[in-house]
Amino acid sequence: MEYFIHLGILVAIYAILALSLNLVIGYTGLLSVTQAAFYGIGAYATAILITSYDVNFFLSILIGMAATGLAAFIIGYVLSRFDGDYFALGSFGFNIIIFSIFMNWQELTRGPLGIPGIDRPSLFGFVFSDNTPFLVLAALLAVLAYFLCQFIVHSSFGRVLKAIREDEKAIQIFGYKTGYYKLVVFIVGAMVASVGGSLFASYITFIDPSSFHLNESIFVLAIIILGGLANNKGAVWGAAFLILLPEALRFVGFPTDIAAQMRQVVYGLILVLLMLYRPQGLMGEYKL
Amino acid sequence: MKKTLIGTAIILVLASLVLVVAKNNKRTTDGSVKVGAVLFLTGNQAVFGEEIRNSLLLANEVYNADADTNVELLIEDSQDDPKAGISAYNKLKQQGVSAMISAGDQVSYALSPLANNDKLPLVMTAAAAGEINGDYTFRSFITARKQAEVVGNYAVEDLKSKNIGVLYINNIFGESYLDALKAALHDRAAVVSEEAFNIADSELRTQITKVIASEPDAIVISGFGPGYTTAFNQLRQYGWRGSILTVNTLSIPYVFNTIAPANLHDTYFTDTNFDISEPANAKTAEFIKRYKEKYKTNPSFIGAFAYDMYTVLGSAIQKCGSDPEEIKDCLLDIQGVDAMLGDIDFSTHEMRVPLYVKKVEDGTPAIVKVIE
Amino acid sequence: MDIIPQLVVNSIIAGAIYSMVALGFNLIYGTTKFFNLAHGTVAAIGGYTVFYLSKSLDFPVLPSVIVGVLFAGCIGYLVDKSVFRALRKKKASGMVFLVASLGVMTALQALVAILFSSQFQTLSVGSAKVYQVFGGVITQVQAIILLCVLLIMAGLTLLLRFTRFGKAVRATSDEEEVAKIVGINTNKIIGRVFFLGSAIAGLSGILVGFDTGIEPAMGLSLLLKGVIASIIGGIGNVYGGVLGAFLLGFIENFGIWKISGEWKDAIAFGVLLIFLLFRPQGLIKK
Repeated sequence: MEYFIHLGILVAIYAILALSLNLVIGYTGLLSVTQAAFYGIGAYATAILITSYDVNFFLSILIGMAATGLAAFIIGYVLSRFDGDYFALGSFGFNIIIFSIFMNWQELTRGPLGIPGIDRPSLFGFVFSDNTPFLVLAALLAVLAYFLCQFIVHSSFGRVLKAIREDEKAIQIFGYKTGYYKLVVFIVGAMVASVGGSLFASYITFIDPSSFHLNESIFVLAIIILGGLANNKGAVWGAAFLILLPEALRFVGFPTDIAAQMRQVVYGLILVLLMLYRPQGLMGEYKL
Repeated sequence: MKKTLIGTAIILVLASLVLVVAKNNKRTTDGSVKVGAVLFLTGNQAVFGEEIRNSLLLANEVYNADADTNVELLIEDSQDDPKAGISAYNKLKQQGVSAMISAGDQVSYALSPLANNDKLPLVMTAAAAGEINGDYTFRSFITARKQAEVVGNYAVEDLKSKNIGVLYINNIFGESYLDALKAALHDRAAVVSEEAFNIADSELRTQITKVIASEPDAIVISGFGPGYTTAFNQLRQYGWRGSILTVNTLSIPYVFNTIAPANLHDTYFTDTNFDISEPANAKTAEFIKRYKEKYKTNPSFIGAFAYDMYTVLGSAIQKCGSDPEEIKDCLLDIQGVDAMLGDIDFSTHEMRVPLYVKKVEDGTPAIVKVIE
Repeated sequence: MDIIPQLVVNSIIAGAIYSMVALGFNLIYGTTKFFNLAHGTVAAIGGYTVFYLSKSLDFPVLPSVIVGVLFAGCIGYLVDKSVFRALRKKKASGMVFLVASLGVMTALQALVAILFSSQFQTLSVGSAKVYQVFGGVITQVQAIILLCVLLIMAGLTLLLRFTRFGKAVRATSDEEEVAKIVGINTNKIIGRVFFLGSAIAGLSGILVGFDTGIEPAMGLSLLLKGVIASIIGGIGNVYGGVLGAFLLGFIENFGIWKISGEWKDAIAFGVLLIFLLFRPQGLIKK
C-alpha cells in the first residue's frame, strides 16, 4: 500500500510540473526545456528555508515561488528575444547554467553534498510525516494547479496564448504585445513548477543537484507530449503513465544481470513507437 | 469522452501490472528470508552497481549452498536517482524483506530516514561520503574522509610534502575528500591548487595544466569515472615527474590496467587488503576465482565490500532469525565472521577494516604502510 | 611546460574533437532540421565496434577502425530508415522527432551497456607517443584527430560543391519541398546523408576512444558540444561548425583556467546564449 501511496505522490508532483510546462509549450507554443531548473529553485528554496531558517513549509512554497518568479522573469526576458528552435536551445542553456549554479554555489546549496534532513510540512501543529496525509496534500495542490491552468487557458488571456501559438505575426498586427504575454506565461509556468519542487524536497527529505538536470526537463516534456499537448487532463494522465510505466516494467522478468538495462531499452522503444503511431499523444488537440 | 475512457483504461492496466508485481512476489517459500537491494544499475555509476550486483548474487549462491535458512535476494534498480530509489525501496518492502541494502550516497540519504522509520536495517555500500544517521543504518564501505586523512598524513610525514595540488571530482565524494584532506594537512602543508572535474568529463587537460603550473611537491587525485582514469596518463604526458597520491579507485582492475605501467611510478594510494594479484587470504582467493569464472572479469574492492556485507548479513540472519529488529541487534554485536577484508565490526554502524597505503612498484601494488 | 602554450594546444585538441562531431551533426541537421539526440550514441557505437574487434577478436587496428566507421554509418542509416523517414512522411514537428530520437538514444545506449557493461574502456595500447609543439605537449592520437578534421572538412567541401550528390544535398537542405518537386529523391539523399554523418560520428567516437576512452553514455555530452559548436559557427555550414568548435574549445579551456573546471558546462552554454542573443545566425552565415 505504501508503494502505491508513494507512486501517487510522485504522480501528483509530476502532474504539477506537466501542467506548468503545458502552459508554456502546449498553449503558447514555446519549446522550453527549463522546467527542471524552476522545479529545482522551488526545491532548494524550501530545503534551505526549512533546514537553515526553520521556516514553515507553506511559507517556503510562497517564497520559493517568488524566487522562481524572479529567475523566470530574467530568463524569460532574455529568451523572449528568440523564437522557435533558438528558444529551445536557449532554454536548454539556461537549464545547464542553473544546474551548474546548484552544483557549484556551495555556500548556498552545499553543492554536490546536497541538503539532507528536510522536514515534512507542518500546519498548526499537524505534521505530514506519514505518506497518506502527504498524498492528500500533494493531490490537493495538484488539483489546485489543474484548476488554475484550466482557468488561465479558458480566459481571454488564454485565447491570446493560443493565438500566439498558431500565428504570432498575425496577432501582433492586431496590436497585441506578444512579448509581454509570452513572458507572463513563462513566469506563471515557472512558479507552478516551483510548487512541485517544494513538494518534492519535503517528500524525499533530501535533495541534490542531480535531480534537476536536463533529463528531468526532457522527462516532463515527454509527459506532456505523450499526454497530448494543450490538454490539461492529458498532462495529468501523462504523468501517471510515465511514472507507472517503469514500475510496471519491473513485472517483466528479465534476467537479473540485464534487467535494468533491458527496461531502458523497452522504455526507449515505447517512446519511439508512440511517436510513430500517435504523435499527438493520447488527448492532444494541438497536432504537432 | 472516448479519449478519457481509453486513457483511464491504460492507467488502470498499468496500475494493475504494478499491483501484480508487488503481490506476485509476496509468495513466501517456507522458511525463506528475503533481503532487498537497491542498486544503481543504470546511470553514471552503473559500472559499480553492476559489480555490486554480481558480488551479491555470488554471495547469495554461496550462502544458500551452506546455510539452513534459504535467503532470497531481490534486486531493484535505483537509476542513481533518490526518487526512483524510494520507489524501489517501497516495492521491496511490499515484498516483505527483512533487511535492505542500498548503493550510493544520494539514494542512501533518501532511504535512511525511511528505514529508520520502518525499523528495517539498511546497509549501505558504495557510499563514501554521507553521514550515517539513526539506529538502523549501517555502512559497509570506506569513507572518503578516512582516505583523505591517511593520504594527508602520509604526504606530510612520509613524503615530506609542503605544497599539495589536488584534482578532485565534483560530487559528494570529491568534496568531502577535499575538506577532510585540508583538515588533515592543517598547517603542515598548503593546498596550492584545487581543480575540480565532473563525473562525465573524460579529459582533464586544462585542470592538469593548472595543477602542474602551481608547482606542488605532490599531487593528489580523488574521484572515479573516465576523467579519473585518464588523469594519470595525462599527468605524465604533461611532464609531471613527482609523486601522485590517490584513492582506492586506482586498485580497481579495469582502471589500473588501463593506465600505462610506466605512468604509475611514484604513485601511492590508500586501499583495503583486497589485492587481485596477491590475495590476502584464502577467502579472497576463493572470491576472486569464483567471480572470474562466473562473470569473466576481475572484481575489485567494491565487489569485496558487497560480498563481505552480504556474508555478514547472512551470518546475522543465520544466528538471529528473520525479524528485522533482531537482525539489527545482531549486526551491532557481530563478531568472528569469516570475511575477506578483515575482522568485521559493526558496533559503530561503520564497518571497520584495516587500511593500508600502497605504492605501485614495477606495475604491482605493494604495501608500504599499515594504518589500522 | 609553459601554461599558455599548453592551454592553446589543449584548446586546439578540444576544438578538433568538437569539430568532428559538429561536422557530422551539421551535415545531417542541414537536411533534416531537427536535433537528433541519438547522433552521439552512434559515435559511441563506432568506438565500441573497434573495441570489440581489436580487443576481443584481436583484429589489427586499421581494418577495425574502417569497419567501425562503416558500421556506425549503417546504424545511422538504419535509424533514419526505420524511424525518421516515417516521421517525415507524417510531417511531424521538431518536438516529435526530438522525443523519438530520445527513445532511440535511450534504447541504443542501454543495448551497448548490456553488451559491453558500463566500464570505461580505452582503445589505445601502451604509452602514447608525445610531441612537443611550441612549448606544449600533444600526443600522436591528438595530432591524428586534428589531421582527420582537416581531411574531412576538405572532403565534405569538395563533395558538397562539386558532386551531383552534393548539389542534391544542398538543394534538400535549402528547401525539401522544392527539391522534391525538382525530382530529387529526398528520402534517398537524406538516407545517404545519415550514413555519411553517422560514419563521421563513428570516427569521432573511435578517435576519442583512442585519446581517452569510451563508455556507453559518452554520446550525449559529445553531441551537446558539437551542437553548440555548430550553432555558434553557423548552423548548416561546414566551415562554420569547425570554426565554432575551435572557438568553443578556446573559450572552454581558457574559461577553466580563469574560473575553474566545475563551471565548464555552464561556460559552454553561456557562450551559446551570448551567441544566440547577439549573433544567432552564427559566425558564418549560410
